[in-house]
Amino acid sequence: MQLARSLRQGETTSEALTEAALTRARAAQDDLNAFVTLCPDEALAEARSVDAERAAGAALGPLAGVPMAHKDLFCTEGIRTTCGSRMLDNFIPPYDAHVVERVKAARMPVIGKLNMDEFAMGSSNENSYYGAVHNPWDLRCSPGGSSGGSAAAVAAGIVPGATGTDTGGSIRQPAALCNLLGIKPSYGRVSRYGMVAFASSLDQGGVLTRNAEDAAALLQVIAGHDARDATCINAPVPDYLAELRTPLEGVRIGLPDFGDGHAIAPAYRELLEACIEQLRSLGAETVSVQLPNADLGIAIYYVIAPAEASANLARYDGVHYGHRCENPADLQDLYRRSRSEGFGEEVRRRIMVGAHVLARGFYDAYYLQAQKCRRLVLRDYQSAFTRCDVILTPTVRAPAFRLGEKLTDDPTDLYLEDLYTVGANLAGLPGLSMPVGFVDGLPVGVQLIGRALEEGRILSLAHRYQQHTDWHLRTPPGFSGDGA
Amino acid sequence: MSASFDLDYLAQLMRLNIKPEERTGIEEKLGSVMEMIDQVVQADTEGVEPLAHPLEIHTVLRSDIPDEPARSLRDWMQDGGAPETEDGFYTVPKVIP
Repeated sequence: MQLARSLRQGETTSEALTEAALTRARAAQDDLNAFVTLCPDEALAEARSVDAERAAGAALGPLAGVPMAHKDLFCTEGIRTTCGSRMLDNFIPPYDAHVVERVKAARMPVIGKLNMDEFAMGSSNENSYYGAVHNPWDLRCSPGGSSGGSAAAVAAGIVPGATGTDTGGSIRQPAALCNLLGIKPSYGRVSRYGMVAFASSLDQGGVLTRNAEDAAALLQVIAGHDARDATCINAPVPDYLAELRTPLEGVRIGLPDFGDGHAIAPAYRELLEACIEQLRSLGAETVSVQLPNADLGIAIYYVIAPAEASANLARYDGVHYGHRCENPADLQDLYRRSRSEGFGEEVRRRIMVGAHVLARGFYDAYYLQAQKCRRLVLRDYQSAFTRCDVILTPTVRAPAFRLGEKLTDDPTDLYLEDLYTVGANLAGLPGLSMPVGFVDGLPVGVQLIGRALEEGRILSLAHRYQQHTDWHLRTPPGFSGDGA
Repeated sequence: MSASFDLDYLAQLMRLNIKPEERTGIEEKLGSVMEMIDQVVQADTEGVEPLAHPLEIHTVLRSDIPDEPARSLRDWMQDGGAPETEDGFYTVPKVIP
């Protein structure tokens, strides 16, 4: 929003901002590996066109001319969209995702496509065919995932905002590990049209920015009904920037009483308490709430998400688009080799888990049972929201971990990264993570979960908090880009 | 219960090949995931209806307006969108021997 104001006041041009963003992206690429593709020609052409229209006195939207970047899972017409996978290394979509159309209509130059875990499956961005992304706060560490490129690019000040997607925590966890505000809207708030599908009943597009005001402005651009996604909610989108000004007085914040499995380090606990205290001092009230099935969340998620993924990824057959093996002997060989070569280890594992939980003899015990458990989780939230307006939890279990540290023989170590975040996906609720301080020099976040379609309320809480704290203003040493 | 998965069957369902040297590693890692998801099997869900979707929305209808893509699917396929085409058709290895 700061850049948008500078543009409106004629202090700078979109071309200068876009050129600077591209320069920062190139300079940081060796350190961060945040981008899969840069789009300098398209971005600069759009920037110049916005500048010319502004000079001619045209009425432009509030973010017109401000550069941004998309997670490489939103289809971009004529621009490669890889989803972090060898399978889509050569995929050039024939159309734009709804989110991409909206960003174009807002006249924001898109400087490139951001690295991510393959098909958004991962919490460390180490599952990308294009290599791991590094955390600007400590290059030895993971930025989180799957929207790791988005988080690294915004944290490093390359762009002021980026899109991401969140199926189990893929916006909020990297936001927490990179000192950003990341919001996953309610399921259905943002169209999934043109978003490469992972788990269709959980996937939701959102944004990562430095602060709540920028998140509100960018969410305003991408939220809203689109008939091409039958699950997209047809309800008016409120004015999120106006909602930021809602007073905190009387807002009831629910504090869940988790079991031992949810323990966090004392230093993180202190930051959480300080955040709660700050919100109380601004007029919020706190109540304790119960989420008795929270411990089941990860297990439910790892039945439902792989099941849906196993069906969604059946489309990659080596025939229609994407990777095709050389010299197939017959049709089965074409399928099997194309898929075995095109998918990475984590993707292959997850779709096989999906096949297992959907297989005859296991369907009732796993998939149907997980859907029943999912209703229990939804009921927990419904019951909690009779006592409170917003639920506050840690976003993560700990700050960023070293790259390679969780690549162990047990993949479930990494799955626990989503412990606090999967609940909002299972229940379809909006959730955000905001910066609340540092543990051992690395950022951590607090998660705010709202009732369905109450994105404005959680953003306003974050905004009020950010007006009285400066955690979100801190930037990683060595990356002092002015993309804020 | 989940300990009894058949790797070859799952690989066949998902049209994947398992390299012999990867087999043990894949089985071990799959095994730990299966063990973890076993928690849902144990949960008490007596009388609970399954929830397939967070919104429980109903099927919606939209107007049947044809898209007007910038270029036809056939052009896109032939311009490299599809890995292998002939005369505007996808090609696959011979299916009928």
